[in-house]
Amino acid sequence: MMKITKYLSLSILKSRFMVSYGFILFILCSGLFFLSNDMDKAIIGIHNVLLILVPLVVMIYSVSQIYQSNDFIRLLLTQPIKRKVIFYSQYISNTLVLLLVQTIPIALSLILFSDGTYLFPIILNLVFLTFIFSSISSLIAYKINEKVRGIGITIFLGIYFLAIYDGLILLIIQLMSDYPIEKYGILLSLFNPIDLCRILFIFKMDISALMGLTGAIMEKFIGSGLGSLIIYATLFLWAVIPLVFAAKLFNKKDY
Amino acid sequence: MNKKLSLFFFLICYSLFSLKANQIRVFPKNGINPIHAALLIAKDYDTLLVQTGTYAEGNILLEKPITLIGINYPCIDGKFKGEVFTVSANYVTIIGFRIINSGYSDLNDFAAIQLMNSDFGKFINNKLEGNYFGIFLHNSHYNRIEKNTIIGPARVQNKVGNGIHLWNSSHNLILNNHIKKHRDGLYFEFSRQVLIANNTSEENLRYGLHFMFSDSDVYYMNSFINNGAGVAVMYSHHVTMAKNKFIHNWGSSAYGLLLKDIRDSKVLNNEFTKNTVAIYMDGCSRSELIKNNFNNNGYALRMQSNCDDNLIRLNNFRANTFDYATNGFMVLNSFNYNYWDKYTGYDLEKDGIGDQGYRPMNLLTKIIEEYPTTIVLLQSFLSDLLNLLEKVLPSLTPENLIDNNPMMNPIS
Repeated sequence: MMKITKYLSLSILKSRFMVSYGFILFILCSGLFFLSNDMDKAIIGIHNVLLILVPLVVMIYSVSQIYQSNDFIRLLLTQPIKRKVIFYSQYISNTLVLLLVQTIPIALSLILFSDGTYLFPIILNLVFLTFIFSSISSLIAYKINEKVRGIGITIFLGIYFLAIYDGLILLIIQLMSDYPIEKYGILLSLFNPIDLCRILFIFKMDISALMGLTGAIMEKFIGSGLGSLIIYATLFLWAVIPLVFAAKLFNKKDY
Repeated sequence: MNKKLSLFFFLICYSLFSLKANQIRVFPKNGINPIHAALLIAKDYDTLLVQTGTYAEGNILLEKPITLIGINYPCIDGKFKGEVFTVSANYVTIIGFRIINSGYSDLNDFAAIQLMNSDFGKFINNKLEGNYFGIFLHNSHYNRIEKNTIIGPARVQNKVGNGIHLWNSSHNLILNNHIKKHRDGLYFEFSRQVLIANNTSEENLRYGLHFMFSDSDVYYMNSFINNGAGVAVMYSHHVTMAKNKFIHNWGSSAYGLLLKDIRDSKVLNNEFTKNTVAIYMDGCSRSELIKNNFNNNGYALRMQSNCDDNLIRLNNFRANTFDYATNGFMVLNSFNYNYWDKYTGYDLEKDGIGDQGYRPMNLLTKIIEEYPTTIVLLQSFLSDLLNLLEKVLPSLTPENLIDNNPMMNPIS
């Protein structure tokens, strides 16, 4: 397993895309510090870039990567190697390389240009998002055989998590506004990992004071041990459940 | 003739000398109650020089015009019983004392220095620590309260009084005081034409400054920092607030400056930094907000639509999460020549004024005003999208809520 992971990771790392992606991230994040005169705003900006860019890039890249390595996997399957080993080494190599390429520039710009207070929450969100969207994309890639359809669905899912789901939240809140629904705002966001990461970060940034009653209720929830446990457990499940299904699909897949 | 004249001069001089106020020195070891004893023998306008040491004499009642000067901050300990100084005469001066531990009661407002119907006093350079109320003025006018340090006791909010409390006391000067950890730092009720300058009010449990029914007051160069609920001013007119600093009044029910039913007032050259809501206006009329700096606030201006005829001119809005919020469609206030950092227009004539108007309220703010729970969408991609849409095709935010002449560069 180690061997396969190593070779896969190295072949991905060699690609020009990865290097340039990391470089662009670094320039973008450091640029935000120079553009805005306030450090907090720059950090919020970086987090927004992360929330928008990471899911899309991770999903599209890993889906196309899985489709591309189809021939290589077929070759591996002729060897006496367990399918599980092949699947997990593929997943881990993809995720780890993406994580490396994203963490280093963002962490570097945060350490260089800020006091580093928000380094840990941002990197934590980055890790969660990378793992979650990597497993979602492997589920898509093994479920759908045609490359074009697979990538199309990936892009749609990305936009769904980014915007459409929030639109649905808006609609639900508007429809239910006659009821005391402050508590359920956070419940709704449990079904979208991007929202969950965003809210976690908002409460780290102490913007929650702006949020009035909803903010107070949410702060109580997130501040409590059970609340944060539920949130982190949900994020964990978002990474694990698609992965388990993807592994099942891969096991039964007819190459 | 010459003899008569010299006698006359002698008599005048003698009478002048006998008129000269006495100085009485008070030492902590002079009997049981040295200050009380000295007060008994003192005549009007005498001076008590109280030497350094600790005095615990219970309530000290000042019923005649008298000057008390502390040498090296003598400590007057209230021992948590009743009032420390009660002043009920005019022309009383208290300088250089350390007054601690006044009593606490639910029925009486015990203070370190309580003024009852006494005018023309001076209260300078005192250190007040751990008192229920600091300096309390009842119906007392033309007093000068200067350079005092007033630090409240460490108790819960309903057991802590106000730092400087004026009730029905006009024409007073409150200068250069430092107030900390009281309920309200400065509190004025029915107190007109008071000048409040250069004070610092910080870490108070409720408001840094709180006034009601206090017209024609001037607030100049004060700092209100990190107070539980910021500053609240209500039901007054012709108030001037200039060059004050409102910093870090942060919390779900904190305001930098809450203006409720204020009219004909001026808010000039103030600095609002890192407040949840920098200025919250409710029912305010004919007031002017000019040349203020709003930096890093949650909401810079939150103006209920029952405000009318207010002028918002030449202000700088920088790095606020929301620049402006209102609760209705009616906007009767005028915005002009402000600098908004979120303005993205252009300036073809190069006169420093943007050619397109700026709409300070974005769509997300509008939605949040109507459905507060939607604030879970704060800083989401969707909210950016909605704001962009509203900027291109304004339809949902109030029609005449627009700054027609936004400045291209910050106003200095």
